[in-house]
Amino acid sequence: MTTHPAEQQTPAPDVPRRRRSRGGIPAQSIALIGVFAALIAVLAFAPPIPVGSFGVPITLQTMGVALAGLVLGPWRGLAAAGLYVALGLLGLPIFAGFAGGFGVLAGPSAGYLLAFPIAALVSGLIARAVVRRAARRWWMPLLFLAAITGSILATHPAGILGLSLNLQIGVREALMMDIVFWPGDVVKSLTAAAAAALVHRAAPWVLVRR
Amino acid sequence: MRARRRPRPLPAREQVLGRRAPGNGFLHRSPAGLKVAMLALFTALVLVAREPVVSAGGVVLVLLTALAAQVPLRMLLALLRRLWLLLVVLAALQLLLNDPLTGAEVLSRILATLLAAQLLILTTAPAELVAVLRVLLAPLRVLGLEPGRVALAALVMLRSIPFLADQFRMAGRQAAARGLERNLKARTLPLLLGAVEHARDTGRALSARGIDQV
Repeated sequence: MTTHPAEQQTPAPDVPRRRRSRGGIPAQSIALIGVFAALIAVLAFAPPIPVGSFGVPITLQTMGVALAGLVLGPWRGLAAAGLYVALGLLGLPIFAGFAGGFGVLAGPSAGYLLAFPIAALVSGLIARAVVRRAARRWWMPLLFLAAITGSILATHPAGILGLSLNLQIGVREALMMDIVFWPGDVVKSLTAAAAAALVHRAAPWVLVRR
Repeated sequence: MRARRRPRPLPAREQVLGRRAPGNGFLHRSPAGLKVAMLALFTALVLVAREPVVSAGGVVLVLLTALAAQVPLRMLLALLRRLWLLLVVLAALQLLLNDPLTGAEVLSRILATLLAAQLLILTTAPAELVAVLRVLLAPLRVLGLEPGRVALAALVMLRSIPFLADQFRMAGRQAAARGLERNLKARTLPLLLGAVEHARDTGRALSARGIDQV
């Protein structure tokens, strides 16, 4: 998408003035962290939706995590995913299937859940550099790389480890189970990157001009 | 003149929070922090032991506790109705890859811990859990983390979940109306934009109430 030159010069009317509080997190960041933690939860308990011409059902939990990193940047993304995981572990029924509590640490998804904050951090680090330095037409592909990097470096290794430990199966079998999620992961990362690029264009106050 | 057709009501969304068991048993009355600690202890025990006897005993213990605390078993076991597919897949996998004894241990371990957590949720209000989180985060003050602000973010999250759930359902219906029910972007983009807008409004409301000056 091309940008109109005038668009960049007129200051957006709705940029909240940033007011640093005494060493604390500003109110706008608190709101973003809370709302994106809720976004992860809402996407997590959406039933698997059929996607594409084959209608393969995919779940959206990891997409919320990718979005938190891509839209909020590293630290607030980490905070949002961390808040989600922490409240879920304490017992709120916000994990997939309305589960919650320390019990999920015994279940098959333990590794994936614990890796979410790190994945958001990794994606966020790359995403922040991308939206501040790269030209706009590169945002979408580079944000896709950011999302998939977070997924490859954090979510999948930890997920495989968790599967192997909690189901008492070998790492190879766990890897086989994990491979099932890869195509969906690529689709979700693509969508998350496109959506995040749109948010950064529409609402530069979130990360670009922060 | 043709009578105007009344709009079809939206089906009710699945209730997430506030699914609380009726009654006032001893679990309802005990402090949330104690229940969280007990749950953590129970989970750690079952996780460390990895014995079929311990895990199966854990399931029985949870059911007995539920009975003693006057939590309806129907509400406790509703969890199984939502997770049955996962449990069936796990059972099949265990029979395929492991011997029956290990399979029984894995399944009963997952069941025991999930049911115990469900018992906590059914007898505790979400805001009480946020208060527990605040207490747990107090030691992190030395790292510059403010527990009060984290608790505030958690409360914003609790408030946002029903709002975003509605947005997500509306986005799904809008996508379906355009014949795009299989288009992931059409189903999630309105949700994301709605979330950013909601966050901006919330942030302004917090600023207007002087959160930054506290």
